[in-house]
Amino acid sequence: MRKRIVLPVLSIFTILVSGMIATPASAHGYISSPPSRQANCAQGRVTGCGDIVYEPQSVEAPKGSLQCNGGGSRFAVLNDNSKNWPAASVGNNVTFNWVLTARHRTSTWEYFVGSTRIGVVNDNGAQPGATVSHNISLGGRTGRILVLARWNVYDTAMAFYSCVDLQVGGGGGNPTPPPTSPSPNPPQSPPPASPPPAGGTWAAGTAYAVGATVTYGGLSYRCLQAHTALAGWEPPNVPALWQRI
Amino acid sequence: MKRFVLLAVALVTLAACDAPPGVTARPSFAPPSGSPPPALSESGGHNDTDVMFLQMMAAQYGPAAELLRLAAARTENTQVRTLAAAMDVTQADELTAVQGWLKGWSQSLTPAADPSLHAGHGGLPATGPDEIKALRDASAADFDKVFLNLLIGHQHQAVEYARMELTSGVNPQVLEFATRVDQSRTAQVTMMLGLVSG
Repeated sequence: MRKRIVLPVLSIFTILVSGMIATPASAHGYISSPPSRQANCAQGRVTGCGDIVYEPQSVEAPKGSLQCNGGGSRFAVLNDNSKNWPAASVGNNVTFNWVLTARHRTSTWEYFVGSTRIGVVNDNGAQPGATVSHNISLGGRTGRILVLARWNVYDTAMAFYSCVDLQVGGGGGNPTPPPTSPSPNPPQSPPPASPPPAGGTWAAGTAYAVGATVTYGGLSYRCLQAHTALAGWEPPNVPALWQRI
Repeated sequence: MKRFVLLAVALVTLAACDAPPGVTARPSFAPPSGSPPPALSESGGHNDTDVMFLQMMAAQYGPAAELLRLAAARTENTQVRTLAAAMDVTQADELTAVQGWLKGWSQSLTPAADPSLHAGHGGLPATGPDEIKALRDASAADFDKVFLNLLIGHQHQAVEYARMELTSGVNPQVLEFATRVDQSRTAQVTMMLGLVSG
């Protein structure tokens, strides 16, 4: 059945691929910690970022650029050094952790400060493993620096770009805070310390405890499972979290 | 790029193999019991994108559930545990609804192409046995970092699927579901990026 559709598939395929490339649904990868500029945008720490908020993984451009957006036409905000980018405090050795949404075969992962390449990891065309982390020495640099990372895809002319703002302290040691410590940087709206009063209106960003009651759309609901409310998790849409009362 | 290829191949395979092109008018169908998301019974017509979106979502839930249950058992971070537990139960309900739509339309519950066939080429979905094993094998010190980085990528893939549906799907209920997937996953990614960057 599938064999005899090969020819139509090829032509439809071409149309689809050309169409899909134009959509914002392109997906690949970026550095999540220390947070890259696009990660800071996506988590709401930096505002006014534009579309990058929805697709931090999509900073794809031809190989060889030293710009944070890869020199492409999109996401120029990432190149704006006057923007108030937070800088993560690190020591001389930094572990860069990547989020991947597509595991492209990879030639190299390169790290730059200015035009100086400070690190390279050669994957020789292999597919990245489940997790990608690289420990890179900053070479004794101190103060505030900007690291540009390039993920060079093996079988295309493209690379993915991530810029990471760092504040390099004197102490050295592990730059990444222990993962078990609670985040000091909750998303935009910090949850209140206690559940809102009974009968309050449901609101995204609020932490609800079991038994909390809210109104939504003129109806009342009781919380069945502790959670922080999100857009898309409105009470009538998530019966596992809210029960009509 | 491979992602496009896989998506396109899946889409084309569906488009070519599944009955008449365009919108197939369907009468209403009963939502599965215990699946309260609204308006399922008002299902209108649907097209190949609606079907593919639901099938790709259906394929995404299993690996997510494995990651989420490992996290519920192993993380020492209360915020991570609470988020993982809420994602687990909400996605279980979503899966029931997704399967209800597909069954109501007499469609396969899985994408036309077996995801495991693509495991060597980037995966469809992004999370497979290797990723789950990596989380299972992660040390206590690395657990949250591995979990969050894997799940951020996984949930972002759902955003991509949802945006494909919002671009070319037609069924009103599935479009509404895609909107909620887009919103909830984007918000989850925002929270998880905050947690992973400490």
